[in-house]
Amino acid sequence: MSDNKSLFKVSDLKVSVEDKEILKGINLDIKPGEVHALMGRNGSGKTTLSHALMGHPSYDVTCGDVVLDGESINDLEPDERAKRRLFLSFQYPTSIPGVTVANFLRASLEAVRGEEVPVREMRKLIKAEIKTLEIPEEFMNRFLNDGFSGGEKKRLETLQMRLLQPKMMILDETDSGLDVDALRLVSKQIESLRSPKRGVLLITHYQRILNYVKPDKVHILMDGKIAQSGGPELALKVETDGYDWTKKEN
Amino acid sequence: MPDSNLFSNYRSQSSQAYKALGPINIKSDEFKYTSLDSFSFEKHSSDKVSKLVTLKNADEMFPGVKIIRLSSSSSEVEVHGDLLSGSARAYSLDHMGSDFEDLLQRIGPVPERLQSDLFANWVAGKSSHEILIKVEKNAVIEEPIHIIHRLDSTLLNHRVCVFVEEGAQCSIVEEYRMSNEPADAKGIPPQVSSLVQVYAEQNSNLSWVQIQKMPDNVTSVMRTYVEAADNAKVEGAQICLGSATSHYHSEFNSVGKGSEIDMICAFQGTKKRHCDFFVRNSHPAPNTLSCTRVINVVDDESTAVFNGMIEIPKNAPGADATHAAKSLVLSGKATIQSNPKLEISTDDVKCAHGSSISSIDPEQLYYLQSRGISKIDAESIIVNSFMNPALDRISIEGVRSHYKGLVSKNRLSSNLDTDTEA
Repeated sequence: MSDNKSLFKVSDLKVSVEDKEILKGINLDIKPGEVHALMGRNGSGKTTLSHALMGHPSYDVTCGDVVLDGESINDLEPDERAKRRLFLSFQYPTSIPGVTVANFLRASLEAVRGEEVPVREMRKLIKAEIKTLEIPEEFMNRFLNDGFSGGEKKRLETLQMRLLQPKMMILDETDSGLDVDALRLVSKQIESLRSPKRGVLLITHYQRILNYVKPDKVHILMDGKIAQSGGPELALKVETDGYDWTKKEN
Repeated sequence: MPDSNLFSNYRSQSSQAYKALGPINIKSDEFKYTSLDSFSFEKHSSDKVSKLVTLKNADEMFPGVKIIRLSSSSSEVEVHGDLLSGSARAYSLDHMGSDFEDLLQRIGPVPERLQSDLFANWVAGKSSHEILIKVEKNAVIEEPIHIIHRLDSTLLNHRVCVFVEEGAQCSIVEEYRMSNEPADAKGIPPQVSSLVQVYAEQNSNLSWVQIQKMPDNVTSVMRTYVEAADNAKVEGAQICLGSATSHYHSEFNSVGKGSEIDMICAFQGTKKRHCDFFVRNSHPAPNTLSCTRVINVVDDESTAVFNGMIEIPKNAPGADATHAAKSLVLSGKATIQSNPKLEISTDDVKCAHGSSISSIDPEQLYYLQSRGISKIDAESIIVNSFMNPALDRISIEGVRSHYKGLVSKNRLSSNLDTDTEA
């Protein structure tokens, strides 16, 4: 497949944190409409990859390139990446006491759209989304992620994703901290965002979310490198055999 | 026989006390960090206009709202609110008759806790306007009362007394602001000084917020006395967003058993602004609760000082008092001084004091940026979030959103030479 048909292409990406190399040459090629799952055990570099792709200033990209919709985003600040419709759903969303969820959502939507969002429209949008995600209205007046349970945080991440309508979504362990019902609900919303124009990189430990969000490709990350790539059967093999075999084969 | 000249006598007493007190002791804890050399006691002419009380019916502008306005050539005070309903009234202290002798005696020349304070005596002796707000027994005032002190030229020198009678409930927002950028008068910087006395009688409930946003050539000296009687609740904030130098001395006095005083003192410093909060919480009655939180956000070369004192005398068990100072430092040249102290003379009390200083959390900044918000806007949001606990106490929505906007603007305009006023 040629470059111009890629939605999101990561080439030979090497990333260091405090001078320690964590990612040692990652390659990914996600085409519009595709869902890629990235699996790996703890410490394999999954979260480092998600933050490096979003432009976290503490993650030093020493080599390689990240291209979104034909444009290199390597040198862009996180907000510029978000404005190009890259979205990262955080594994551990940061709390900001003093900022209400409603005000934050409006500031974010206005920033990404680059225009003012009338209060009436904002209310309408939020009302529809909170109903879908079974979030109580009082949630909007709470401070951002402050005192939220794990499940509430993940629902809010999903709500943001639905509001901001990204082109490319990176979901960093969205399934962690969710009970079975919440996982089903959140997965359904992720699945509903699937479209021929949108790409998804779904990072997870476990196969269970992949029962709801069916991946086109599965990658196994080991020690900062992609050790295996394949179809959905790869995730089933991890579920039954764990990760050790990938190391042996590699 | 009622003494109709009581208030005039009090003014004379305060003037004499001010003269007798002499210069500020710059080595005292209160003035150790704050130079008030530029404060001029006599060079400004106090243009007293006690007779010009305008009662304006503002029904056309604000349905149901009345305005009382006192003005002189240098300053003006307006009181907005449901003042003529019979349940809340505003008066000029100079015009109060003998019916008010009891109240005048409570007000006194100055509150006892401020008797040795030079500035309190000066304001009480020389104030250009004195306003009394009285909320009648058991009245519930739905609409907040809005007091606006406006500096027109070089001197604002106002005294405000608030009485919330037994079982009454009300909310007061007091703003200190300018009409135009005040010019120096013959090289003397413009100045603002105030003395506010708040009396919450038993079982009353008061929200009181004072906001000061003066331009950079102004020195502001604010004196406050809050007294809570049995089971009274006072919640409020003192917010400083302007002036070159601001010096606050606040006495929060829990004189009634079961009373609660919950205050936030907040300062946003940019450029070379300085703000000094001296706060004393006294607990002479048993089973009282007080909480004073101090919030400082300092940028550029601004400086903030907090001197706190919790006093619990003998025979006042069951007190629960907290002083907590929290500061956000945005520049390597900005400084914070925090000195909380305790004086406890009884057992069976719960007291806590502490200070924390931090800079902007890079993870918060990154999270906001990852949602498309630019770095500078994200910093503004975080600064606002720090100040919001104080700003959220402003009970008038329009005023609250105005000052929230100003906090953002202050952040955006830090390092610039000019100040902006919306």
